[in-house]
Amino acid sequence: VPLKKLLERDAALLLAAGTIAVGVYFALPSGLWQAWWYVGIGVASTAALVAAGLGRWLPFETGWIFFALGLAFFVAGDAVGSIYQSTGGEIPFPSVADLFYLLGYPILAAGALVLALGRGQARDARAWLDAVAVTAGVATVIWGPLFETYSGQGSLFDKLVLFAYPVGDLVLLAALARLVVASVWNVPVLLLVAGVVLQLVGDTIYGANEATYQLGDWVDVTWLASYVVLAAAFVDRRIVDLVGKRRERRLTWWRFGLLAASGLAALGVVVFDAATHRTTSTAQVVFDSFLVLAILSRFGDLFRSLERSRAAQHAAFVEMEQVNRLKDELITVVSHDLRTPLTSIIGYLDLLRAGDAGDLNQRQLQFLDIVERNSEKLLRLVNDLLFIARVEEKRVALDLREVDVAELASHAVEAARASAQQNGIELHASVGGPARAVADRERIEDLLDNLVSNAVKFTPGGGRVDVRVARGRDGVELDVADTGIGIPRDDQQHLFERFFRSSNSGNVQGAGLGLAIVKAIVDAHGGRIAVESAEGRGTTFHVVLPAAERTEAAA
Amino acid sequence: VNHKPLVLVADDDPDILELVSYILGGEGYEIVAARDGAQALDLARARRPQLAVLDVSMPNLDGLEVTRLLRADAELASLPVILLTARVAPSDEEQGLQAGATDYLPKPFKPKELRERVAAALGLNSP
Repeated sequence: VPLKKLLERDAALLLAAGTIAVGVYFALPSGLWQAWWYVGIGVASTAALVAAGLGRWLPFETGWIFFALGLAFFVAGDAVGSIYQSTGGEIPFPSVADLFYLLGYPILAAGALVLALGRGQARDARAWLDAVAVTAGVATVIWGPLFETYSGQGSLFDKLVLFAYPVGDLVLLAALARLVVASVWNVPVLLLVAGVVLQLVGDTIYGANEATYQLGDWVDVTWLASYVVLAAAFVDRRIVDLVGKRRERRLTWWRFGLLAASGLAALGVVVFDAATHRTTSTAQVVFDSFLVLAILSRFGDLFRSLERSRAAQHAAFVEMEQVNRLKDELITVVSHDLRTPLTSIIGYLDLLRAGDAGDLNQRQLQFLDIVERNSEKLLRLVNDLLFIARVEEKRVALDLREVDVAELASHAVEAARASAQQNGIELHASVGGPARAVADRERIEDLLDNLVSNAVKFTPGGGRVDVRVARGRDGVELDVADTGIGIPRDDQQHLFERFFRSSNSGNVQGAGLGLAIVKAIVDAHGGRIAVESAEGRGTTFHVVLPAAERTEAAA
Repeated sequence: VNHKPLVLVADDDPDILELVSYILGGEGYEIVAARDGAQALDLARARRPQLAVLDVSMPNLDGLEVTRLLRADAELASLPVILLTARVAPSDEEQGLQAGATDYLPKPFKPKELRERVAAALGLNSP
């Protein structure tokens, strides 16, 4: 993946600048410089986020205002600490810094929810359940550092404030999980997730090492990086792509994996404690058991819904088969019923032209020629329909003999010569010696006829059509190349479908059967066909048919 | 001695019946026409034609059944039969020949083709 696609320039610049700033932070001597540099990184990140939000008119649904506000509260908390340090005082506990920090969590959570539940999203209770399960799974792993360390001594109020931190983390985590279980993924979402996770990792490590923490501790990396990465998520303007995008409601593999990981984490914690002879608290065992049960029941749901969608798919498939069969029956009947009136038309027409009903003048003969040409066209269409229907029923019988494709190609070119000349198209055949294939002569004639007349039809006057036949390594190779209107890229994959007509075929006549027939004939012979085309420049069809005798040259 | 060969023509489509009768009449054959399979069988037994040109899809006995019944009839077993049909799958042709038809001509056909096939079935050189 090119770096440009990975990160937009501004976001990359921000991340680079952030990395340098964090490096400088650790190089600074501990003390006031470091304390205020810390605040500076936070302020700069928040400013970058606000500048992106205002400067690019990011819509409200991206939640950028909440993320900016949440960051600002965290940075305010940091600043309070630095002010205390600057005035030479100890930071009391609890302080106004705690108030700022604790307000930051729900505000960031609100931002994640705005992004997750944005306009146009259906209500999705299951996604909430899954988010809570994922949160619980993470909580059970960091249970110890989160709750046990924080529940230190002090007044009830002190304890409440301390306890509010892990609760804040979990609220933020739940909101993130709600975004992530049903998210459409892109780079900004990844940055958001990374930012929030860094924040949680920092809090958890801090919780476990609170007693020994000092400003300049390596844990600061997580918080500082979190500021920079969260800002970068909004500086990358692709965050806007998420607005109004329909979120995934199904049980995707991704969601399934998250849930499974949570369940395994809950089990793993208990197993780990047992293996390391640690006592697991009763509360945790009960919590983990419920979590595992909840996730298992959710899996039940998931499999049921999978089963349902599979059944629906099957029903749709059966119905499609039925419709297809009906269509093929219809084609067979219609082509039979069209053949009967055509018999009278073509028969009486021939009698008329032969003078059985008296002499005809030039004008009359000319008109009858037109009638005849058109009834032949009609008959051809009927035959094509019938052939296609038979291909669908796999009822094509081939009369396989050795045929010289080169000779047949020359015939096809001669047959198309008149119409090519009429339209001012240069028609050229380059066939070397005989190129024998084991094939049904009539079908190969159809194939050549279709390809050559198509090439002539779709080439404007002054253009050129080249037919080449050669013996290649894999068999007889046939190329029909034109300098015509070409086939748009999106149409190429549908080219061989019956009744398909290219979007630029305009008023060139046809039912869209020719290439379907060509493909069917090639397939029936065990050959290959490929198309190469550029709109406005021309089209080349490559056909390879199995050769008659590989040992011919050696013999 | 009747030197005009008698040809039985059967088709449920009156236009095609007239077309075939006209073309073959023009060749100097005497024509006896039937509008369905049962009538064709009756006429074959009553008139003893030298050739039968039968449409395959007809009410009251189709062309295949008529051919089989003719083949089963000791006195008509050797009567040449040309089947005309708008059903043109190779398997249809096979069915026709299995029923005992002498020849099989898909619709639509050119008058020239019909003349040639009929002459061949009668063992004549093209008149």
